[in-house]
Amino acid sequence: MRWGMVINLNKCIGCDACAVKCNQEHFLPKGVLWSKTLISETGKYPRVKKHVYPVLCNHCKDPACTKVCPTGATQQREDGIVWVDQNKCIGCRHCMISCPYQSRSYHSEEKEYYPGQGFTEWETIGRILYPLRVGVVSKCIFCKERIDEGIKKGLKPGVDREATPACVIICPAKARYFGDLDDNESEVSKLIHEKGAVQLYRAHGTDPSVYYIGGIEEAPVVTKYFGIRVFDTSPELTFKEGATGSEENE
Amino acid sequence: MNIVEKDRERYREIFGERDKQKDYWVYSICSLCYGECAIRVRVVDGRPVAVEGVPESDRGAQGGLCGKGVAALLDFYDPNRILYPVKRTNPRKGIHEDPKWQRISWEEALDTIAEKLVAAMKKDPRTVCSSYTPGPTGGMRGNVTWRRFFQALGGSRALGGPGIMCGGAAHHVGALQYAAWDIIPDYRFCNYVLRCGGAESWASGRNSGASVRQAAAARERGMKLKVMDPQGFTVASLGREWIPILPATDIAVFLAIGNLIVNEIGIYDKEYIRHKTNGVYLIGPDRLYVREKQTGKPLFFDEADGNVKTYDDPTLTQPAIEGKYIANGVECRPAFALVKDHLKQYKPDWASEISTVPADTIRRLARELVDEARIGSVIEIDGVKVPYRPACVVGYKGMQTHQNSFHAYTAMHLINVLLGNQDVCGGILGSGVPRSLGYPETGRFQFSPYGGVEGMLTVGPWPISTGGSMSWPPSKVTGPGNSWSFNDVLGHATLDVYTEDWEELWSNAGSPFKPEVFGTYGGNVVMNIVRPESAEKFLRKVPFAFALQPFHNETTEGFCDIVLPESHYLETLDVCSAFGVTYNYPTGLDKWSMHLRMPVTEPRGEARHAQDVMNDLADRVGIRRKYNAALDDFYTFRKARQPNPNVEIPRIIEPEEEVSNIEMVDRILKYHFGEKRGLERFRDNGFLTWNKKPEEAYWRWFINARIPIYFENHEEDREEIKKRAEKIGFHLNWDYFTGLTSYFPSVIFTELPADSEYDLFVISQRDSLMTYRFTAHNPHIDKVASRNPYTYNINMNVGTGREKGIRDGDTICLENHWGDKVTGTVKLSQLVHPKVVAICGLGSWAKGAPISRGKGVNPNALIRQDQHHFCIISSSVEPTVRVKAYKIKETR
Repeated sequence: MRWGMVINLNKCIGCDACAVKCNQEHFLPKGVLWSKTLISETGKYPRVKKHVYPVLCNHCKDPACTKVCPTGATQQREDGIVWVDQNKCIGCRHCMISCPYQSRSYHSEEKEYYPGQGFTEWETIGRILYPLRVGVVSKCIFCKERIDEGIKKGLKPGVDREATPACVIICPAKARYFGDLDDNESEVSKLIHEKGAVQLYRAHGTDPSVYYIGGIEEAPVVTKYFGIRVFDTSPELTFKEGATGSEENE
Repeated sequence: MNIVEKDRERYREIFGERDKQKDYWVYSICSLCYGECAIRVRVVDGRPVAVEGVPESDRGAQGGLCGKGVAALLDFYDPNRILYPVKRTNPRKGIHEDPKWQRISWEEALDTIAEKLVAAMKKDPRTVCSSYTPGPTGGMRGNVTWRRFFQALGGSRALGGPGIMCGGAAHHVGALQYAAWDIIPDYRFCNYVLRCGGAESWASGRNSGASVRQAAAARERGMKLKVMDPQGFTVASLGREWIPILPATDIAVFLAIGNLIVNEIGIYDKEYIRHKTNGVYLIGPDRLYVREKQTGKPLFFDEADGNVKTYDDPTLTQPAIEGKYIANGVECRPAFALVKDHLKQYKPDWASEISTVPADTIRRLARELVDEARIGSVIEIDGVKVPYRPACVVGYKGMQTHQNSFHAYTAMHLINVLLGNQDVCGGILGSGVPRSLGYPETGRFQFSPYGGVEGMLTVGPWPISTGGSMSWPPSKVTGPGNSWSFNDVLGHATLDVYTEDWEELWSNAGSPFKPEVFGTYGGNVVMNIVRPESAEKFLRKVPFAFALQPFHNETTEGFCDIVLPESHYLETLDVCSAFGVTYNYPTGLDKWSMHLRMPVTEPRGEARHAQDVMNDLADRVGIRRKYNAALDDFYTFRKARQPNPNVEIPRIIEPEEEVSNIEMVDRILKYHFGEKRGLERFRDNGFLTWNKKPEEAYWRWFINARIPIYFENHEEDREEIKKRAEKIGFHLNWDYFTGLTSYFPSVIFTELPADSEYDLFVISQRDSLMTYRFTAHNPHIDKVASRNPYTYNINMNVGTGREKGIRDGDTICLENHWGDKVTGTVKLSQLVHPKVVAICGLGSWAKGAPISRGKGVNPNALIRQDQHHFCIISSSVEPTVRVKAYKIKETR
């Protein structure tokens, strides 16, 4: 059993519903984002292609992050889900450096969504249901609590909504699929096989569990965190995060 | 017990037990755009904690939901919500003024508003004006709850509100040719879409969730999407081909394609033209219909027996679409013959020079459309045969909002007429389904378009017809002096009060009345139409302004005297957002899906439901009887202009009743769906769904009605309109009022020389996370949108930036030839036409919306509207502006 996800870029419209839903599902505090969309362009006017890659933790089969965690906070379950036990995390962030996909977030300080106006009731509820300590690393967990609760009720992840990751069920284009990669008959396995879905940057050697239909293995997308540029393959490529946006741009 | 208390008591009777549960789901309707997708909301300990779509419903994305709808949950908890009535204590009004709000009681607020309304009504009810938009949490209550109040009062038509991109031509032509608000491809069966402007299937708007879902599935199965647009980073990014084009020049490409189809390729749906358009009406040398002398009925030539007949002759079999005939002693030709000849002048090379779309591309598109349309084919669905035309041209927003919009939009639809794809399988559908044969168990919820005056298509559902001037039959001019939007002079068009020359024109008309009271709901007229200073000029003149809003914006802060707190949509019970707003009914063969906006919890603070507020005001002002009648007409579909207007239609609301919102909702549901399907049934089951019939989804060939492709009423009315309009100072190109769809360049190409230093064209585009400026105030949306390079920045072509010495991330100024300026950060992109600058409309400053303050750019600040900058046939404002761009600060 290995949980995996397939994202169909031919259907994806890059609306970021996945990112927003993940944020809501886990009551993510300001400054922490587990699901993102990477955007870039290749080509020259008028023959241009816009690339949109929704990304999340890849829950790699052979993750780099688990090898570098000094406390064992970052760990992998038998079903392949990689997660961080925040009670063990010391915030050293070796995992963030080692992750070739830069999927992780560091919660540096408590910040109000409405600065100067106190925490909203939503944020307070979140701190009870999904407490996230300051000074720890966190990331996508494939909504493991939905999967585990769902299985207990006899539901099937990837089929029954309640047991399926939130980003999958919210996609208005129905571009995301979830299931068991070890089951050749599962929808995700069939899609990978029949549609030629690819993993991003296989060359990193971690064997991601997230596949992209219509994607390019060496995808021309750029992300910039802590000054490290990843996936930057084209000198013509420029990417500018919202200049007057929020404090997400650390 | 007053009306609000009645409502709350009834709420507790119906929802009280539900609300005591620890963890439950509530079905409702999203309100973050006017797509109004179905949602369900999880409530834990009385607090909404999660929102998603409804998997079993076709209203929306079948379980999915866009990011706006998801993020909207946080607005419920927003500390900036207006929770009690406030009044302005700073007497100065103006943009950037601090109102210095003071909290007041509901009694004081309503007493004051009622007093002002009554005084204004005594002077002249027309001195009361209003504005609304399908606002951030207002949904369609603006169109029903709010607007009908002001209509009942005798107030002036809504001013602004819906925003600059709102579809003047789209709604006008939608009503004339589709009996619908506007149009949407039949994605289930369509194989080829040429999309020209508009972000439907990518971002917000009517049917938004459903069209994203449908279009994604269609692309997956092989539907080809080609997008002609000045920028390529929104919906064009989903397509197989992006065809860059200069703004407002689509008209040239459409006319050239029409010419190619008719006069070169020669394959087009003659039977459609013959039986479904006025292309067969005989036109005389005076360019008017040749009419039977006794009856005045338009005449056709029947090829079957060689006789001239009236349009409604039962023996009419094969009306001619070409040829020359004699009728009433005059030589005449079918209108289509004139259209065909007229198109010959519009050649691909000519269109290419105007639009920058290569001539070969234009030729290829014409060929592709014809090949893909499979003209003449038929498909059988559930035993019913309907024409099958799986190709279409569709456009909205950016493409149809220009000074030449009527002709541009009819030029686009001429292609669809030639393909014969209107309201048939795979083609282009009137969005939201204009025809319902009724809910199976009651027969109610029934409406249909029909052939009306002179056999022309007439809308059935009331929302289109009560748009006033948009639908058939054409309005006759009666003014000036009755309407300060001058639609009593211009016919179908309205000129907004926020124009630069409105005062002069109004003065020339004798200034028949002046504004005394302005009421605004859901909208933000200061920001969403023209430059704020122009809106300020009018709003400063209004002695008293009030608003009903859940959040403050630039309009409330700058100009309102009293603001009433409306309940958030998660606290609201409302039927009109799901009902009668035809453009959100599931399209094509998607099932009818009737939802209800249901409250998750009681309103917070002192917020109230809009319907209760307006009922209360109606009582205070003394118009309850008329208001009840207006609502009753709406909800019973009484004014649907059915062919038999004498049919007795029972009432839902009696004239003098002090009915509460919750009671009204229950009655409306039971009226249409039966006694067992009132509010309690919806509370328990969420929604109602039933199958749609092919005769509903693809109604065109089941209704005997024709659409105009020759606009004879323009020929007839031109001189009268010109006479009345010139008398008060309109000096325009009256040739626009011609029967034949023709090329007219937008004013943006004629008001400045071609080599002007104002060499760039500013356009604004949707963003998938932004709709209305309000969304930028949501921290969850801002958190994600700030990572999108196109959202908060000014998007400019890479090569253009280099030429001007502008680098990615520089701060630049855009300045128009009137001296208006905006500044912002530039994002250089390959996905923008070299002559274009593309901006998502943001740039707020309201104190009540702190998250959005200072983010992004307001492109509307560059727009000045006057009589030369709007379409005189269908009102579309010209939103594209010519600017020069220069750097004011480097990024590094």
